[in-house]
Amino acid sequence: MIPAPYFLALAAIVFLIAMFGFLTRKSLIQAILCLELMLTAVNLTFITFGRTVGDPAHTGVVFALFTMVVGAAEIGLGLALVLLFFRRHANVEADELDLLRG
Amino acid sequence: VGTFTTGAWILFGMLSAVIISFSLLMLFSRNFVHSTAYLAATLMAFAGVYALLDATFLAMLQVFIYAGAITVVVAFVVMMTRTGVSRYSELLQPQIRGVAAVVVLLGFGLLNVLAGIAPLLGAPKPAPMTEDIAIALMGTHGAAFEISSLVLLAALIGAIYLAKEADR
Repeated sequence: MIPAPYFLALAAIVFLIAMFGFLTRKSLIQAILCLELMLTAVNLTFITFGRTVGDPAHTGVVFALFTMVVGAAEIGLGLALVLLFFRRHANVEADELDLLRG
Repeated sequence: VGTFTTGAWILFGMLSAVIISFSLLMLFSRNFVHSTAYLAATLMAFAGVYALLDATFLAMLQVFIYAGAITVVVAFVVMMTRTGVSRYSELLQPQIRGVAAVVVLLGFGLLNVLAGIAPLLGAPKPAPMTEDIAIALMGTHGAAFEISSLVLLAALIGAIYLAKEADR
């Protein structure tokens, strides 16, 4: 197998790219896409550690599975919120969320 | 064994290049449909990386759930919102330097952690088969498994409630 640090480095790079996108994108849909990418990068970390630690309960892989469950739940709710937002503002830009601006 | 390792390295390099370049393309594309397509390609490449880690079951799930279902759902929402293109050119936002600084700092922190744990990681253990994962999921992690189904149910009901709000 390719040494684990390479997989961890790849996961870290993708996580940072996605985090940069999440913090700079103004459209809610692209923010959600970046969120999914962050979850996937973390999944890669879980699987790599699961492979190197060799836990008898396979916690690495099982954690990755639960991350997928949470990711699926998150995308469903997030996109429902985006649809709701679109009905009220006729666009999906986060800059429209200025109700609490002083 | 030697040729297999070389092949694995080539595959890993190609997959990494695809993942990093397509995630950057996803980031800097202002068209939502393009963004979604780039994300689908990135997630497919991730499935390949999982397969390189011998996590074949997760690679399959990655293709089904992430590259398949989630991408389709996002594509539907893009169609339903009919906005298509972001109004803003985000690279001109004033806060982008601050965000870039935070990301670079976090990158150095992660590099530090990676350098710290790299010597502690031993040789890889045998990868669990699907059967082993199923036994662990139903045995040790049984409670978490049941709760995760509740999480999905709650998310389903919540999504329907939110999406139907305008009709009430």
